[in-house]
Amino acid sequence: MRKIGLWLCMMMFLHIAKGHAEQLDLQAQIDAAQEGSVIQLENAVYEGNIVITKSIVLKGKEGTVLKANTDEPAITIDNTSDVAIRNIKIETLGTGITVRKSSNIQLSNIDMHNVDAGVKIYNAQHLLASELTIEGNDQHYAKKGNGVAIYESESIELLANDIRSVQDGFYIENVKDITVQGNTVTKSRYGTHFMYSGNGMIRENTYTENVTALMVMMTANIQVEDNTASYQSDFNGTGITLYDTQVATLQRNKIAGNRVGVSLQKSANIQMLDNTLHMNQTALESIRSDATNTAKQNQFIGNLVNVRSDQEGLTLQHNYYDDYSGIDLDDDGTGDEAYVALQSFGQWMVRKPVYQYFIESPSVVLLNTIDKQTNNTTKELLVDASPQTVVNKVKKISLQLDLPQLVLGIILLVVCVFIYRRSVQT
Amino acid sequence: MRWKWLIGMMLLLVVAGCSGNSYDPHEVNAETDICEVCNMSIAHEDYAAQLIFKNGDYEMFDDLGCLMEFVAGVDESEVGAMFMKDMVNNEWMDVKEATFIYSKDYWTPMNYGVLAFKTKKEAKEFMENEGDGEFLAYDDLKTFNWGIHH
Repeated sequence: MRKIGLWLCMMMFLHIAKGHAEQLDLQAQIDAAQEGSVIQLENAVYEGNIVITKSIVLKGKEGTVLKANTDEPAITIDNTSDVAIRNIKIETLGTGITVRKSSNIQLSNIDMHNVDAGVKIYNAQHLLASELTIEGNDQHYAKKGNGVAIYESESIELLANDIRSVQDGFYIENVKDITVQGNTVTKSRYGTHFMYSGNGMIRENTYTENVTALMVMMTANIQVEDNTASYQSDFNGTGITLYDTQVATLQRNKIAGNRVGVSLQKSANIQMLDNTLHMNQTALESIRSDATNTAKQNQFIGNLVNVRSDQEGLTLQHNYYDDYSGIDLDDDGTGDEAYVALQSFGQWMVRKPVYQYFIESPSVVLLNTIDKQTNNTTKELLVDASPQTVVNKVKKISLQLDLPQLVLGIILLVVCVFIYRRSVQT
Repeated sequence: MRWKWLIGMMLLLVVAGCSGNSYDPHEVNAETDICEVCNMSIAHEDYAAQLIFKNGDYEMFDDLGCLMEFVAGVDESEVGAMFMKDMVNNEWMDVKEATFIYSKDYWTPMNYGVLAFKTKKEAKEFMENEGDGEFLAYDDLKTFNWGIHH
């Protein structure tokens, strides 16, 4: 009798174990699921590289982990539509997710650390990647992949992602209609790297400690707004580089502490409006770019060289320069004489960046002083005819009523009045 | 007689030293080297190229297309040597002696799609594995339409 009882217990244990193993075989669950179904993942570790070729939603919980077993991507979404993956942590040394030939894809709240590359997307339409946390491995950026790389795709949104220590935070090649918003990229080569793309919106991103915050190459029609590109690292640290870019607007960006703040190269129809460029070695440089590119109402504060260019030049209008020494007799906020940004040494640095090591040396300071005297007669290159004499800042004053604080204030006032009257009466 | 022989030998050495026009390629420093033309960091060293001037100055490039764009703007008589990484062995080779193949589907850092090989045999083997391409000679590169062709 005892033997039968023991045998029954063993069978029951085996059945439970088998059932749990089946549940954790995620690929089997996906294969068995109907089109459009939702798979709720457990607070557990799922092992294996999964492939999704049907419409499906994978919803994880806090503690849901997918652990890859091979060099293949942990998750591959291939030739399908309407797939959503949420709330999971991916453990792999290779690539986290690959998407190929798919549409209506949502990737959100996915963590991956110590990966070679985060997400690779090929030929996708209508894809949203949001709240991804991607951290690359310890290799040099030349020897690892990108955070999110997108090729030959359309209608892409990249929102509120946090990417660290990869080659390029976002590598975007041949993509149309893309929004990059609210992301943070640090300690990588480029924060966001556009190539051969069009119709891009890049806004409210924060880039620090990369080689270049935003690198835009051979791209047309982009808007760059309200980004912070500060303290990019090393010898080549640059805030924003536009190379062979046509039609771009840079507006309200904060660009600080870089070797070069903004670099325009071979670019045309660029409008820079109301950006703050401060404490850069060179705030704005223009090389082989159209002279009609315009920098208007920007603030140049605390830079070693404000603007430099080759012979093509750049149009400057209504900018604030902290080293402007002219006067404003009618006090209308605009200087009465032109600001000449041309500095011989700045021009030389365009041709030989290594000259940067001599900046602020006694001979260069003397040269700049001589420039200021002789530039009073210069009327052509890098001249702002209407420099601002005050920083263009719109201060938003918000009045908010804090009810508890108001009530407490009134009570204290009444108490004070009461005490005062008592003291006067006595 | 011995003195004449010695002076002759020394002159020979001086002449040999002066007439040597060899240029050694510089290694890529991934931390500091950027492409002289497009300003990109040289993250993909196996596609890198370099040009050494006769005065010893040199410039690095991330892609063969950038090198050719730069060459178009300099006096070729001032150019001492041009090197390019071989796709197979990742070793520097003389650009003018390389075999080039082009396909719009070959990836390069600037996506120009032109790859360099030491021998035609290696290029053929690459094409068998990675897809067919078109052979180009160095002179073809001067008139090649550098850009993305997707």
